[in-house]
Amino acid sequence: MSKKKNGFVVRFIHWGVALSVLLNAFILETGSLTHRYLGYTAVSLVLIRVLLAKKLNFDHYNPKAEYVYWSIWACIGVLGGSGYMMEMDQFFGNQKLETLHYYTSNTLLFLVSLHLVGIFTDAWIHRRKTWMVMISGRRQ
Amino acid sequence: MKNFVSIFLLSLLCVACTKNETKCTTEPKSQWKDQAEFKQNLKDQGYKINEFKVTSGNCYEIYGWDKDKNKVEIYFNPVSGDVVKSEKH
Repeated sequence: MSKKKNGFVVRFIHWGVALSVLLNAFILETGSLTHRYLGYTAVSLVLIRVLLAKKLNFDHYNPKAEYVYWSIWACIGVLGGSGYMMEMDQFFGNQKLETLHYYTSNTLLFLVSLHLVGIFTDAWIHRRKTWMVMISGRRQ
Repeated sequence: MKNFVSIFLLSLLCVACTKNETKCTTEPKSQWKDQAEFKQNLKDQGYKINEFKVTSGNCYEIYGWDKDKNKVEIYFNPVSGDVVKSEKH
């Protein structure tokens, strides 16, 4: 009973984080107010997701790809941390933090592309609709 | 399937959009103000500069505090020295 509800939370978090990453990486201006608050939102969502991961036993994702998910979450954590620090008075606009933020975001985008390659490979070569898990909540 | 296609197209659209980046000039760097003089001029006006950088959008950008102690991020035109964009933090 609660499994379905959690499934919805996981999907909501997935698309919320995906949208935040796309907007922050490709659309919103670096360091703008919306970029910052959207970033903090993404970190909060990831935090909830990581806490959920400990509580729940998910069977709907590929355990072999689990390191990709954890790497993605770690990147988002580093982005949030370095972004927050850049706003502190003593590090305001700090270029070392900005460089860290920049390379972490590139790493994140690389991981996202790995994630997409995995999904598409599954769909086209193995004819599995793995992506349905994040849309309807179940494999079809 | 429809859902999947629309989400895929939407994400392609996002990637196709150009980043909303502040652009300040198209003049060659030889026309730009000297960086040291530019910074000194701002300090003389009461700015406290924490970081100075040249952006990929051809701006001089500072992170710091203005004369009223507002925490600000400002993009300047490096040729005229005009403020292109100012954001309070």
